[in-house]
Amino acid sequence: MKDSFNNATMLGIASFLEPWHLVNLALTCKDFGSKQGKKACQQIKSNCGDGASSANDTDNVGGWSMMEETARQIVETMSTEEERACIPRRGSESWMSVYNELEMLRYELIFDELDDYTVRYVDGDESHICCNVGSLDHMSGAYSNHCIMRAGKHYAEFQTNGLPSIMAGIDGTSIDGELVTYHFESGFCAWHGSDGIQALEGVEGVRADEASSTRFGLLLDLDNGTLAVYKNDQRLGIIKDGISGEYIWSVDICGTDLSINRAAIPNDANQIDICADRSTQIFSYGKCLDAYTNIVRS
Amino acid sequence: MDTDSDAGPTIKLISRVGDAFELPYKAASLSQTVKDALGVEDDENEHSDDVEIVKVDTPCLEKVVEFLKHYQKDPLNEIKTPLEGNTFEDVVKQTWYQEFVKGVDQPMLFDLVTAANFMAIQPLLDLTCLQVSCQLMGKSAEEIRVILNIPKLTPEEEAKAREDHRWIFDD
Repeated sequence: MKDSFNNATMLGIASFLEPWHLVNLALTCKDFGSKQGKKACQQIKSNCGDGASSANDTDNVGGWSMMEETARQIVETMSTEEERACIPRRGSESWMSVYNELEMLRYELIFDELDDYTVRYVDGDESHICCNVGSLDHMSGAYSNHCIMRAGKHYAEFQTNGLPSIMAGIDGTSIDGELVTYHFESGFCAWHGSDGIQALEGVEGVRADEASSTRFGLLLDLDNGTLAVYKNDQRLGIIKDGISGEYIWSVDICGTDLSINRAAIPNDANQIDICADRSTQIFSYGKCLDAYTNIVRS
Repeated sequence: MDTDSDAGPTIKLISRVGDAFELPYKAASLSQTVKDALGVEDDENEHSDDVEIVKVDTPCLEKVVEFLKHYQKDPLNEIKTPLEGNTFEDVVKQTWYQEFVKGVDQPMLFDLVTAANFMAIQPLLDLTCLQVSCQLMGKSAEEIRVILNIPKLTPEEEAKAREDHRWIFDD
């Protein structure tokens, strides 16, 4: 039966499949999963048509498997330019791996890791968390590990039914990765690196009485290395520049709830702000923790 | 081109073994291959009313013609991705098309995929590819081999295949 299918029909079938389904297909037989010879590879491209050019793909010495070529076609013809900017292929990375990343980019944002028992999902909704404890002294963390951001622009929106204390930001995925946070109420911003915590010039915060009607947004632009804050689609400013690496969204909440949502990149995302002069004073973790604690208790 | 007073001009599609199926030109023109073979854009022009579909057998061509005739009256809603459901019925809500696909056996389904591709009938290709995809979703490699009638890999071939796709198992 598999002989009924050529590369064009496999593309049609695979376009409805998720990446791991393609891997299972690749594992079924050599025709689907083994590298083709150069001549066969050229025939594959001829049959499928060529989305974006891959003529300069220097790693294609042995040719791609049918599933690899199918994944490449899906990535290059069924994604937007914005999406492709977020998932540049790393060296000779498997196209099915890139396709997997594309799918992850399209999934709704959720908090797939919670710090501990002090924070829980609201009604089983993994995009909406709240604190289990009522103490104002306890910050509970949550993370979107499934959404690793390494290139391009990413925008997340946050909503809450009330303050008192929410910090949201980006967390580097490497062991010594940095953390950049924005405190919703005070507008306090900080950068946490291996040397300590650096207080950044803050931006506008929000009053407790307007929290429930406010949408906070964070735009991570890894092409320009910036993190910008938005409030109800209004850009408040860039809170950090010089950012590079891989990051996930992370939040800390205290005594309240928070939901996360993947939203469209704001229209002014390409606006070039001059990042305001930032304080270069590095606080010890202890001193900055005091600053956070004061904010939490205020 | 013949003319059916109700359906307008008609043409005949000829299968691999010479069996003919008559249908309205408008219905047949959903196939880009047929349109190209007729070599016209205007259905008022004079041209041959037979098109040989040399790669498609009679039973399959009969089903293709059935699809084309129905599509002319009730077009298939576009199948959007990402899919709007987890099953075929969740995605394709039009009953006639559900029954069209369910009413064929596996060999005929694969023949329809091939025919739709050869005849460049995009809606039929989408419909049949979706059905095959739904059959493969959630299946292991071994289960897929059964569905597609693929011989087993040797242990060495399977080990190499898993090594080649190590990234997903490392995740």
